[in-house]
This record gives sequence, structure tokens and C-alpha cells, in this order.
Amino acid sequence: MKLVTTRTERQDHGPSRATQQRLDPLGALAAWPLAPIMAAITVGYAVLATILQADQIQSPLLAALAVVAMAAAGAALVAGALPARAPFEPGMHLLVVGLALAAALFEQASKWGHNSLIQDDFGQLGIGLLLLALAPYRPWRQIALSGIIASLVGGALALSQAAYLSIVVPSGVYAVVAMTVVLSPAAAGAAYSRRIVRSILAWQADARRAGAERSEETRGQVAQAVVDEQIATLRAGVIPFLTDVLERGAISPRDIERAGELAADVRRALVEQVDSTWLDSVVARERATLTERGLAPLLVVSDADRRATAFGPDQRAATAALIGAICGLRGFDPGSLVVQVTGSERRGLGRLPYRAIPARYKELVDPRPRAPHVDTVTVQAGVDLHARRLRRLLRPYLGVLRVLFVRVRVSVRHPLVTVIFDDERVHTDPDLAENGPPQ
Amino acid sequence: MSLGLPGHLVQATLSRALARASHWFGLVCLTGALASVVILSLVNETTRLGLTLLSVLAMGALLVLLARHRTVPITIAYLLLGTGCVYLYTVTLLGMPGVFPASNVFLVSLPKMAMIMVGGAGSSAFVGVLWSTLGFLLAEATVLLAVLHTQVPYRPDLFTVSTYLVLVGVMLLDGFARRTGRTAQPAIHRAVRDDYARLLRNDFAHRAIARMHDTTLDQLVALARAQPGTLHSPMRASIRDTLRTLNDANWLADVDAHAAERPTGEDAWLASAVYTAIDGCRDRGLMVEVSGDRSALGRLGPDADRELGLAVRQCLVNVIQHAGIVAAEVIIDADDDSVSVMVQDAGRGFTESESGPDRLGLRQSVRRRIERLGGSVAVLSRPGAGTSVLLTLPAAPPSAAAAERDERVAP
Repeated sequence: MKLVTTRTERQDHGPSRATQQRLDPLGALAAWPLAPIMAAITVGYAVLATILQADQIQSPLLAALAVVAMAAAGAALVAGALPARAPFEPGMHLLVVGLALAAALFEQASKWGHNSLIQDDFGQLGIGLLLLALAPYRPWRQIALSGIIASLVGGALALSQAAYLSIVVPSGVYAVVAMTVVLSPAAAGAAYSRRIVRSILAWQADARRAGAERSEETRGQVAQAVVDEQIATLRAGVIPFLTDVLERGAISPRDIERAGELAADVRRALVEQVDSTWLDSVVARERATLTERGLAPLLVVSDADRRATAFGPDQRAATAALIGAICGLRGFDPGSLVVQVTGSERRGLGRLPYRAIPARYKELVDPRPRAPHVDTVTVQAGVDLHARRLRRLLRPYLGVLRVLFVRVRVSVRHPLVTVIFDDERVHTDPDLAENGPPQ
Repeated sequence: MSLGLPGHLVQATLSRALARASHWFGLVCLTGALASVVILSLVNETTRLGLTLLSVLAMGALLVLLARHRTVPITIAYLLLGTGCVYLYTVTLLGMPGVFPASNVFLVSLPKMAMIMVGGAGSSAFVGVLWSTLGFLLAEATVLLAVLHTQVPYRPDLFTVSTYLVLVGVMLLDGFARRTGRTAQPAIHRAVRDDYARLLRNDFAHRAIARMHDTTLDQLVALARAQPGTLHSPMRASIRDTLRTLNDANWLADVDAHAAERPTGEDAWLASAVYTAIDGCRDRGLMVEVSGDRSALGRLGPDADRELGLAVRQCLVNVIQHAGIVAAEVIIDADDDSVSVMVQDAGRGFTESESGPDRLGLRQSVRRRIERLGGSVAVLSRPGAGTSVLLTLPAAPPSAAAAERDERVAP
């Protein structure tokens, strides 16, 4: 039973709730310019339409409010999609749609009774375009639902204006026009989001299968390599010593002393191996690569509490990729990399389900849910590169980190570059969720 | 488990997603067109209404087909049928006397926009742009021709033009922008693969370390505590056993062959690795009292049985070495989905946070061993109040375990 869920595990699994941004952060990063472009088109058209249709406007104040609301919706879209703020939060989605709807309402109110055409109103068009721009960032169901609601509102507004419009057709046609303007881009956005998420998930399933097959093939080989490595360290001391004692059939004070020394050596070596984490292996690998290049690297990992062990596979991979990228930069000072993991106090007892603790020990365990556990990773290195160039080179890696961690911060003070990110986990006791607190 | 798409799939995937998006855009436009014609025909006189409706429906059907099978022939068929549909639709709509002032109304643009959304049958965004451009040109030319057959004047249609520009812009942007993140994606995929390999290696390494600890270190500690003189026979046997284990090439074999047949009831207890572990520690002078549901151990698979036995052994060795007492209690308990073993002593006890690197045995030989199999370990100890280590492992429900055994007995 899993008591600790990482942030990534909690969020957006399954094709209906996943987004391109979460599954393919670099793809979303590449699509980023679309957000400001769409926002600019929307706001630009709102301003243009307001000027061109000035003769229809009855309340300049409401017309101004409509433009301001649409500009705010565009700004919210850009702010939410900013790579530095990834991932796009549901609250921002609501804000974008809410502001755009408000703009449509203000626009209709400002021209109440004097609107000559539905088709050139900027409100509905703006909502549609903004929903389309959400495609890389939001789940398809939410885009589709927003589109349906907004189109119903748009249709209702068009119907309510039917009596005053210049083209005389049955009022149903006005509703069709208003709804199509919103629905067609929204449907396109939702379809894109759904299709791309499915493709990525399908690829992931294939990749996982291939990975598992590869692991299975190399299993025996890896096991043998591990055993050989362990035995090699014993060949030098322990095995000859034990063989010797066994052959002599007696034990001398010198043997006792020697056994104590060997035990201490083995223990030290084992503790060292046990305490090393994936982060140590990642840095060791970079160290080896730099040494191969004829450099004398000094790379330091500081993670006394082995916090790195709590990271999920994607988090490990993204962190490793960032460290690899920094070490591979031109101008990287091989004596400067420090990776530090710090954080809030670690869990002690109580790692097992409440149910599994014998009754007489239950009082020792505090069943209340605890505050989220936060681990902070700090990667610091000296890189002799211009700040802007450095940021540009690291941008893709940071984009991925932002999706997997919270609060990713980067600071560049020549020549030092510091990347800090948090991993937040919530402790949950499933027994509590199922049964409520124990009596 | 795998961040992002690899480079060779990006173009095809994006192209498919954009095609799907444009097909849906087109379908909504066609639905709007169909609804408008139907509503309008209720109050206006129209010629060729049936044919127009049929052509819009056929265009929609072809678009659905195109969304499912993106082939060049269907794309061409769609464009040809679309051209006919746009003509009929425009003539029908604008032919309604005195309704529309000019050709640039949104309703007229609907099938035209659906034409642009042909989205492309090619595998790249650039091919998509070519198809959409073809759709745009055909649609505009057709409307121009259709307008000539009606009374309304032709006006340039901004809806279709801007839709075309936005679509082309998006396709080109996706085509170009992808090229900038190229270097990072392989690095991230490599990191994912490395992580897989590291995981596998670490798993073996931890098992190897636990095994080393159980054998080598215990043996060395026993020797360091021995009295000088002739080796007594249990010590001789134990050194021989250690050397045999170390020279055994098959340390990390997943399943012990002899453990394949699992007995039941009291036999299960006597055959379990936990029993063997307790027996071994009794030989070393520890008094171990066992209580609880012993037969429950028969529900564990061979791997779980072996690892639980080794973990219990380590707990008992800890009692011998650290507790300052010669008695321990082992309580076996089970529920529907797990089996747990508690090893208790009334010895010195300790505080988890105050114990040093010396705690290797508990950490490696007990905790990781059990956690690797999806179980959990709780250490409840206070200085002076003894220590209890609770090891819980997931297990098949009693009935399932029995059924599985029956199957094995009578194949």
C-alpha cells in the first residue's frame, strides 16, 4: 500500500485528464508562442471591432469594459502559459474563460438594441480563439465543456438581440451563427488536446514495454556484474582470511583482531553503498565523463538524509538530464558543481497502514495527516557563458522540471548559475480516508 | 515514465493532432451550415434544397472518413465534393430573395472554412499547408462563380481568409518551433533509459549487499568475538557455509528451485524460511518463543518466504548482538491480504534517530528487503523498553493460496 504520493503521481493521469504540457513539456514549450499570438489577435480584433462599430455602441463605458475584460482574458492566457509558470493551472483556465465571457456580456450590453450583426461581434470569436489556444495546456474535456457552456451563453445572447439585427432571418439562425463561432475553435482545441495526449500515452506504453523487455534481457548480465563486483572486493581480504582460518582449524588473537578490522572495512563499504542514491550515480557518471575529457572534476552531492530516494522516475530523469546538460555546457567549470537536497523533517515511525499496527502500539502513532513534505534541490555551478545564452540553453530542461516539481527558480550571477526546485508530497493514510480517524 | 515524444515521432504526431483539430473545426462548421439551411428553408422559398442538404451531409461524411483514414484519394474526393457543395450551398443561400445583402456573411463562409480544414494527408505540417491552400483557393473561386449566378454583390470574405491564415500560421509554427528543442529531448530520453538501468542495477546491488551483510559481516563479527583456540564445529560449519555462499555464482537467482513446492498447515511452518531462521538463531543460544498463526506463512510465494526468513533472521541476530538479552518472541499474524511477523525483545531498545551507521542491518537487511516486495516495516522501540519490529508482506488471500496449491497438486 502506498502512503506517500508524489505530486506528479497525484495529478492528471489517464487520457481524459492529461495534458500535452504534462506529458510532453518540450512540445508545449515549442507551442508557447501561440498563446501570445492568439491573445494579440483576440485583443486586437476587440479594439478594431469596437472602433469600427462605434455607431452601434450605446454605452461607451460598457464597451470599454468589454475591451478591458477581453484584454485581461488574453493577459491571463499569456500569464498562465508562460513557460516560467508551467504548468497551466485550472484556476487560470477558469479565469480566462470567465473574463472572456464577461467581455462578451459587456459587449452585447454596450450595443443593446443597436447591434446590427452577430457575426462581427468580438466576444464569441474571442472566447473561441482563447479556448483554441488552451489546447496544449488543458485537458480536452475541460476545453470542450467550456466551449459548450460559452456557446450556449453566446447563443442565448444572440437570441435576445434577434429583434434588432439588420439581417432578417429566423432567430434560430442567429443562435447557430453565435454558437458556431465559439464551438468550432473550441472543438478544434479539444480534439487537438485529446489526440496528442492519446498519441503520447500510446508511445509511452510502447516505450515502457520495450524498456521492460530490455531490462529482462539484461537481467542476468546485470546480476552477474553486481555479484562479481561485490566478490572482487572480498577476494582481496575476507575470502583468503576465512579460507586460511578454516584450513588451520584454529583461531589466534591476531585472527580475532584481523576479523574485527575486516568487519569494520566491510561494514564501511556496505554503508557507503547503501547510503549512495541515484543522485550519487548520476554525478559519478558526469565525473567519469569529465575525467575522460582530461579534466579534474570536483562535483559534490550533499544529501545526508537520502531525500533523493523519494523522487519518482520522471523526476529522477529530469534532474539527471539537467545535471548532464550543465556539465556538458561550454564554459562549465569542472570544479564547481554542487547538488544539494534539503527539506522539511523526514517521517519517522508510522510508515505502515494504521490497520497493520498492533492495537497495543496504536497509541504511539499519530494518525493525523501531516503537512506536505517538501524537499528542495539546489543545483549550483560556475559556467562562463552570457546569462541570456545560458538561460536559453537550459530552458528546455527547466521546462521539464517545472512540470515535475514545484517552485522552480533560476538565478544567474556570472559565473554562478543556481537552479532550485521543490518536490512536494502529501502524506496520506488510506485507512483514515476509508474509515475515518480511529475511535 | 517517459518524458515527451522522441524526435522521429514528433512531426507525425503533431500532424495527426492538427489534422484531427481541423477536422473537428470543419465538422462543427458543416453542422452549423446544415442547421442554417434547414432553418432558413422553413421560411424562405428555396430551390435545390434537397440537393444542398445532401451535399452538406455527404461532405460531412467524407470529412469523418478523412479523419479516420487520411489518404490522398479521400482528401481529393473531399475537395471535389466540397467544391460542389460550396457552390450549391452558396447559390441556395444567396438565392433567397432579399435576405442577405452581400456574399461576405458568416453563414456563406461555413462550408468554405470546412474546405480549408482538409488538414492534409501528408505526414508533415508543410504538406498540410499545401492541402489547405488548395482548399482555400477552390472554395474562394467556387463562391465567386456562385455569386455570379445570384443577385447579391461579391465582397471579400474576411472569415475564411483569417481562418486560413491562422491555420497556416499554426501549422508552420509547429513545423519550425519543434526544431529548437531538438538537443534537449534526446538528452531527457537518455536520462529516462539510464534511470531504468540504474534501477535494475540498484535492485540487485541492494539484494547483494543484504546477502553480504547476512553472510560475510555476521561471520566476521562472530570470529571477532570468538575466543582464541581451536575452532569449534558450529563455527567451522558456519565458515564453510559462508565460503560456499560467497563462491556460489547464483547469488541473486530469483526463485529457489527447491522452494517451488509449498506445503500447507503445520508443514508450511516447518518448511518456511522463517522457521529455518529461528532454528538457526536457537542454535546460537537465543531463546525464541513463537506464537500466532504459523500456517499463514504458507500463503507467501517462494521469493517472499525467502526474503521474510532472511529479514527475521537479521532481526534475531540484532537481538543477539545489541539487545543484551537472550530471549525473543516471534508473533505471526495474518489478515486477508497480508501476513505479518513481529519480532519482539525486552532488551535495551534504542531511538531510531540516535542510532548511527551501525544500523545497516536493520536498514538494508530488513527494511529494504521487505519494501522491495511491497511490504512495510515498523520499528517500535524506546531506550529501556525493548524493541518490536513488525514486518508486513502482502499475501494471496487464504482461499486463493489454497486454490493455487490445489492446481499445482492436481494439474
